[in-house]
Amino acid sequence: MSLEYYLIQYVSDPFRNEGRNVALIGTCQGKGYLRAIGLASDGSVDRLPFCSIAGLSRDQSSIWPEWIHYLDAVTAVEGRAGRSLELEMTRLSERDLHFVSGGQGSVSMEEGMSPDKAMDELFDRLIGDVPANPDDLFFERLEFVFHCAEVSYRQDFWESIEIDIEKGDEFVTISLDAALVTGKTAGFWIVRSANGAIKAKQGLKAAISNLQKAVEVGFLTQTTSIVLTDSTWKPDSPISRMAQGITVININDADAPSRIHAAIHYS
Amino acid sequence: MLNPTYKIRSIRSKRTFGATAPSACSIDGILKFDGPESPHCVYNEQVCCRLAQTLHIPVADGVLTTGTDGPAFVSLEVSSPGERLPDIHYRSLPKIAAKYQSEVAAVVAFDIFIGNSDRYRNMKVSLVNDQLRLFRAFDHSHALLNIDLDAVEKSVAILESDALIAEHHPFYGLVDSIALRSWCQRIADVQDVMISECCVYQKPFRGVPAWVQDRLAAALNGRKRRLLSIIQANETIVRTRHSAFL
Repeated sequence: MSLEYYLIQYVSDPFRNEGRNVALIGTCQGKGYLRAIGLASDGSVDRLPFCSIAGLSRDQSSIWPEWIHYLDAVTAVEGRAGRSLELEMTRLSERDLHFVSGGQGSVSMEEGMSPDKAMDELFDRLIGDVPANPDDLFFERLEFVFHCAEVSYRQDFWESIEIDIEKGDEFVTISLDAALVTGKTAGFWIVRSANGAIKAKQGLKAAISNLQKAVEVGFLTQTTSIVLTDSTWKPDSPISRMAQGITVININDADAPSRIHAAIHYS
Repeated sequence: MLNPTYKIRSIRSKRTFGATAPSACSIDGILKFDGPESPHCVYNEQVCCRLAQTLHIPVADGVLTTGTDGPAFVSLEVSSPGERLPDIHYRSLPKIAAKYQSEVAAVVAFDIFIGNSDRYRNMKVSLVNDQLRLFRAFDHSHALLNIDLDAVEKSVAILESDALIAEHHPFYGLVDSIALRSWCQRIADVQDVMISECCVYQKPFRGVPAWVQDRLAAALNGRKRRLLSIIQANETIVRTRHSAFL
């Protein structure tokens, strides 16, 4: 007896087209089976693991329960037959850029093994548990800090935004993780050490490039261009040297909200 | 609670003048053209969008733009905060009908009014999150002048008749009859001139001559008055769920 399965991937940046396995639908003997990140056996959904792997804030990740609801319906209906499931997965990849079918496969099951057990083993191998470490709370903490700094409820506060500034005959495009775009402007870039030293340096390099453009065109000042991190960098480390002259704030520090507030209002 | 329906892609430089400090921005959209399978798609989409806005039907907003061979239609991409919502699955239809009773009735009344038999999964709905209310239908390329692909005159003639046209609909058998009656009455109560202004451009619109636009306006004004009686005459169909959606 064999179990046919389809992987569902989340593609954070469709341009890079790098997917992360987030769910698995299996079909065996006319019945569908679903496993997904954050989906408990009682059907309840914890959004936090998805926040963590997708790099979304808790507010933004409200989309994940909606997708699990859809995948559950697909599992119950199209999961009854491999052909129907294949068609729905093809349709999904054609209609959506962020949630796509990540390929299919089949596994033969040993005698006596239940499809549920086979799905659990497949889930462990193909998706696995999202590590429950303090990094998972990064976006929770970020929301809290923005809230305390009296930033997040401003009408001109935007997250994950590109801003085009007119400079002469052309537009200069600045990518920001968050920004206050009118009145007292401010720009925020996130550089996470939890993703490893190399990625942190790459992130900082990209942030500096955008930051310099923003300062050059007069959209931001050096003080209101803020890099937010999840750790305090050692003063003599290469990344600290790269960040010289830039406002770097560790969001886990108790004074992070007041420093952000001061940078915006008293600079 | 007001939820954002369209996600901003980028913001352009702020203006330094104006009390509200406005900024230019870009929003994602789906560009639609005329094609062999939908020869009057742009006109259809534009008219349906204007009708829906006039009648307050929850469909995706859209705008006209200029393509290489004339006007094209951009349907603004419905999005909830963060990422796109999944397409609806027909297994979720009862839950949608329960959460969005009025919106569902509005869309059923509208689809019968414009002769749209292609609603199927063309909706974006937030279903799980109680804090988020988002229901928007989209895609009207097969309604109005594309009911019969052979000739626009035939499509208009069908709209002039008492035919239900939308023989299959995902919300038949689920729509609340009182809410549906109420929406039919609202559509019937709209002044003729308001409907006409949605249809008539007083000049050819792509392949749609002005006389066809006039005739369509007259057909819709007649149909809105007969909408309730059309539904009553087809009550068995409207009250029964089609096997394709079970």
